[in-house]
Amino acid sequence: MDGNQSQVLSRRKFLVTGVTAAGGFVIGISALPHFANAATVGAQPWGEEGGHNPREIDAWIVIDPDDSVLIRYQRAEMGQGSMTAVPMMLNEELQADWSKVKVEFASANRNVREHKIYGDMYSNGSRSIKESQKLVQQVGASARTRLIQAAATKWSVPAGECSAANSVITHGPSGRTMRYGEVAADAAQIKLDKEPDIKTPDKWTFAGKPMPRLDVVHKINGAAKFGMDAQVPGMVFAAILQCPVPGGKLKSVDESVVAGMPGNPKVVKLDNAVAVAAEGTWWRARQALAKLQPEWDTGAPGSTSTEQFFREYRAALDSGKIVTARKQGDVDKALGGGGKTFEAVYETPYLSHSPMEPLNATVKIDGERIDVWVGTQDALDETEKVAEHFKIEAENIYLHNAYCGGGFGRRDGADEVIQAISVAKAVQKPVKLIWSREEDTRHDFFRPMAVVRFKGATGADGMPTALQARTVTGSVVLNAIGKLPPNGLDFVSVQGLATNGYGIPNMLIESIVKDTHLPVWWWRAPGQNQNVFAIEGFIDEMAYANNLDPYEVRRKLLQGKADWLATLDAAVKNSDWGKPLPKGKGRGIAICTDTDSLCAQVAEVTVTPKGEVKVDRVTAAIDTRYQVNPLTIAEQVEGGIIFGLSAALYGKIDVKDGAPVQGNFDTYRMVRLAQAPKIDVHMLASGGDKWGGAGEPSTPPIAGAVANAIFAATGKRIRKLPIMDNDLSFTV
Amino acid sequence: MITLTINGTQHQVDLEPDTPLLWAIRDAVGLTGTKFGCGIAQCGACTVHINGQAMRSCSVPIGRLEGASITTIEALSPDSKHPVQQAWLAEDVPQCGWCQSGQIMAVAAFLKQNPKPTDADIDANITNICRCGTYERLRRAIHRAADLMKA
Amino acid sequence: MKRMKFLAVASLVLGAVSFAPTHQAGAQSSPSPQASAPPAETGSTAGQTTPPASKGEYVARAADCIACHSVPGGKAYTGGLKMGTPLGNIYSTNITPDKETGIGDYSYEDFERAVRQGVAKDGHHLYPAMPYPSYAKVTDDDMHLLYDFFMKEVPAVKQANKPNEITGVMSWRWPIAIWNWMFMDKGVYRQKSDHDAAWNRGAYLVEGLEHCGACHTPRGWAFQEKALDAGSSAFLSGAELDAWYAPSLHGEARTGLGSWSQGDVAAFLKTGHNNKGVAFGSMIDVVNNSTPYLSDDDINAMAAYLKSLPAGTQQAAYTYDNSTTTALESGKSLDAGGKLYNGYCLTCHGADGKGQVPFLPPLAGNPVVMDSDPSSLVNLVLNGAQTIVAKGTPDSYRMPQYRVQLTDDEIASVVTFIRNAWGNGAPAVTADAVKKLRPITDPSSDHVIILKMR
Ligand code: FES
Ligand code: FES
Repeated sequence: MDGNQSQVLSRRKFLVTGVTAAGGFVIGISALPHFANAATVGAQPWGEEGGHNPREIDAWIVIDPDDSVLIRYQRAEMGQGSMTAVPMMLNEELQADWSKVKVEFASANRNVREHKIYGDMYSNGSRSIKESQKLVQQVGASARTRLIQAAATKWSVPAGECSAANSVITHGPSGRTMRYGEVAADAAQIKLDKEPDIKTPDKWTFAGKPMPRLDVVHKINGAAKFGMDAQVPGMVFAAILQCPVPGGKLKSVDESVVAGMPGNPKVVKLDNAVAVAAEGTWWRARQALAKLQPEWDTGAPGSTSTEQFFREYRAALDSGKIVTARKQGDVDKALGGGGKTFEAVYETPYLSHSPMEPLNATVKIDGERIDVWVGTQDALDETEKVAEHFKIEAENIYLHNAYCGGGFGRRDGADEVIQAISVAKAVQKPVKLIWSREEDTRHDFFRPMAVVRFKGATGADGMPTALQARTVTGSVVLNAIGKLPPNGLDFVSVQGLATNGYGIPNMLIESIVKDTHLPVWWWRAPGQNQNVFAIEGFIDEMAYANNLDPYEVRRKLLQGKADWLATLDAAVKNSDWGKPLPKGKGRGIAICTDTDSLCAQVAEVTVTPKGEVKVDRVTAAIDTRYQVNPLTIAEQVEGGIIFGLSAALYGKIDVKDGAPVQGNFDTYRMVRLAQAPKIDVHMLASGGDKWGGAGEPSTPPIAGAVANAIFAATGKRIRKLPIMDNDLSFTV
Repeated sequence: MITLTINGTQHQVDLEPDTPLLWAIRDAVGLTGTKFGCGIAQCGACTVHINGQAMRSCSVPIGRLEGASITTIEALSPDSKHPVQQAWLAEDVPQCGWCQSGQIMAVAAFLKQNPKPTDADIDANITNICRCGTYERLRRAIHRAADLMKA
Repeated sequence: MKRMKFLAVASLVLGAVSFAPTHQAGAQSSPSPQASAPPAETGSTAGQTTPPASKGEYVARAADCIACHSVPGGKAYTGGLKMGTPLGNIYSTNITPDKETGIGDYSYEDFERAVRQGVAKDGHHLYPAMPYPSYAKVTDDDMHLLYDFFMKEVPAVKQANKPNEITGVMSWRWPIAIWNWMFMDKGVYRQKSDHDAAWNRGAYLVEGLEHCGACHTPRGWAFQEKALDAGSSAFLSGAELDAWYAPSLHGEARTGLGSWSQGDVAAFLKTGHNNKGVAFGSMIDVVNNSTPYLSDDDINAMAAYLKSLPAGTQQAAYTYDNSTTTALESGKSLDAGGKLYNGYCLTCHGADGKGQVPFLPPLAGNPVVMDSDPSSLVNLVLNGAQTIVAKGTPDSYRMPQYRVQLTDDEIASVVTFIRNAWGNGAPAVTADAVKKLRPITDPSSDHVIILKMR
């Protein structure tokens, strides 16, 4: 495999090694039956420079005379599997022999030059499939139609008499056949006066069945090329230290102390950071960097702390500028209506994305031209961000997207790319910049902290009659997009609150945005990932206070919503809900909608008298409306639950003297195998006009389900995350 | 000059003796299958075999490795057919894949010690972090690999 | 842990004025990592970029005044470091030559009285967090060098001192006069004629300005060090302070320096590493700010003196026991602690417990591991260790913390396992012991802290 030798990057080589590696694998794994006839992707996923090929039918599809098919995939692959699922949808229409298909990343540079021929390129918000579906099916259908047309012309028969399957075109009446490879060149010349209709999912014959992910073969032997794995001849390695207080600036640094250190280290001063580039190993750069004693200008934020922020957020509940997100009935009236009333405040901390592969970028500058190797969730947007920052033409930026070692929303800021380019300009050499884990954690664009205050009332039957939720939180929209929509509402801040499915007659959901100096960003299931914990906890509080079964209460509140009820029931019926448990064990439910999917979970936990929590089991149900690759849906649900569980149990970024405190995995703890619950996933596809996502929806419910289970086990209500900061000990 | 024996080949590296093996492998030798996740022996992404034992290469100084036999993920098997790799494919374990080289190397060494591990054995021994949360399939794959090895 | 705690200072006196700094600098620099002689220095880049020290700076380095009279990120010698004492919190003071807030208007006599007797210019008594009982031994020559350094080389910084947080009867300072009268033996160091010059030099360094006793000597009812020189067996016999146990520096075979050669001790002082162990806790402040800057002569003198201290108790020499290694390698017959070691500790410290010396410390036969007092071990597992920065060059490796990852029971069981593995044979540790230490010890920072002299 190519991974065995150190690769020298030459643009031709990418493709070559990609092909050989992939070819090698197909043989290598053919022993495993379910991999027979699988398509392939390259160990190095990026394609040829500029992404052109003389034999292409269009920008998306290349068919060679030998029938091998190249499909270009326009988004990212970070484990979510859409590099497999999106081509599956395309091939549903193209009807090529799947075993002859190879997939590679579409070129962002070509997308820039050819007026967004691939459309947008981002993978976030679980949108890779739901937003690609129509487009790529159309692309596939169009190519198929042109291939058939080309064959029909050769035979001089009406195209209507021909059909295509498995890379073969058949003329019905005569039974004559022709291979795609034979007519591809002609098909490329054909212009259709009318684009063909695309199949509705019920007509699918290929997509919709479990399909092993194509990239996996390269991820069991070290062959898969991630951004950090790029190797450019003559490159030096760079480590970076950014101002400990986000937003602060570099005042001064004494460079002389690195003189004589190994690797001939060069200090590069940036506006808000200091970097060191060294020859030989990244470690040398890191050691030289650690020797520097930079002075920072941290400004006022330099004295802030987490405690202070929570104090200020709580105060803002009554003093901040309120924007109404959802209103029905008359909450105040209902709250004063004489029923049982409730009030509770829920708090969630800042979180770091912490993808497993720390941020990095490799850069080569050659005159006007800048080549960038990076794993990004948005190759087009990062290209444009870089162009804008350096005031250069986007055409001159060649971004070679690599596999992402996790993204979760962080890998589209381009900050690491801009830093790498700045360092490369300064040292006049190709540069591979790698952030340490501590930098990656502390200079994340964080999941915002939030304080949510609920008020509620229940009627004679114990059912909720009023629900008011007012959140104070940082504005992801302002940080990431720069402005709020005309109605002034940061829609992310109320995701999970305003989107609740409950039929409560009087409801008022309000948003107050309040930022600190910490930048905040999209973090797997933005808004939802903290609000669902809060609202599902409060609904539970009202249910238990009225001695009602939280499941029954939710069922009643969801009356008339077949899809919500089906998802809730699927989770509950497959758990042991209702079966009695001893003290110290309990079950909890949570449900939400996210990216047009629905996800419900039942968590079963054990709490020891000392207050140690173990989540034993999670039963999850997800309705993605449609399913392209059920296998990756299940994987995303499993992964999303663990991701949310690490946050629920241990996740917090504290701020001290303005600086994020937690740095590495010894302070920012992650769930390991020993803490991983047994997870079973039940998938629904209720159809309708919306397509649901799969990557996000399973992350929001887990914190609520676990917190509610802990209440069932101990009678202790968790209103502040992470769970580890709550004393859950009890006496037996 | 320090001589490192990696995947059966001897490499002369001109690096400081306190250099972590991880960076010698990735930057000096150029094998990028071994990954960097934390640098302080917490995540296991950098796991390699040193004389058959799974070690986290970010925390192994090369000054101690003259004469040691080092195996990285690239050479776990010649054809990607090591039972652990086959089990990983069969269960479709990797998501982003960044942690998986380390997971596979850790499990391969672990199964040599414990050919028939219980879930408790697995919990105690495989402490590598997977940020994508592939643990459900990972656990299944470990048991599957154990069976494949017996067969 | 916090960078500095009550009296957790160690500093070295450079005695002889005869000593030439230039020759000093030469003696300190080691050409290249590969070439450096003692194994403990392999890989350390110490010495590559040390600015030549003035005599005064050299004394101040040795005295490690900076460790107490500075805070990370603050200006050197402006004080402000919080020290929790049994009497309440006190703050170190500004000792820059600023006339208003520092010691700018101190005459040499004022300075000398403060350092030797703990009496400030205005006549008030300093709390004995200032190790003046040891400083009393400092020679006049060194005192003058120190005075000149602070007056002429340290830039004056205007920064008001923080008021101490000591209340009630203890805030009356007159009892300190009595304390001094009771516990201080006055007078500069007197040469012991029955020992050679190097030994006397080492004694002068260790007992005097160095005041190793501040951490390593047990304290009495009034928190006084039980002894101030080698005349007493209590001196440097090991002490618990601030949830760290500073081990005995006597010759005990298992829990003292009995198993360390003079070269081991010297290497440890020079780099914070040797083949027997790695510095942790308060000793990291010493290594980061003081001892590596000393001459080989001084280091060797200290090592010779320390190696001359007799064993307080006779102990059977440690012998390595292979059975733990076999168990760990086979993964068989491991108790809960052994399993945790396997999962979290083995990759650095090894199945054989021998670590990866001199970079990562051995646990087998390590005096800190074998001592009856487990505080340091528990503290290290809870909070990890700061990065050692010998002469400004950070270590490649540091002990991570397990405070948020392991419960009291888990830490107790893994520490107990380590204390019994490979023939260490030290008593078990209870979860309650861990529980006690957890709240009173703070997580260490992975930020590298290097204090700058100027
Ligand atoms: S990189 Fe070595 S354990 Fe994380
Ligand atoms: S597969 Fe992404 S971190 Fe494990």
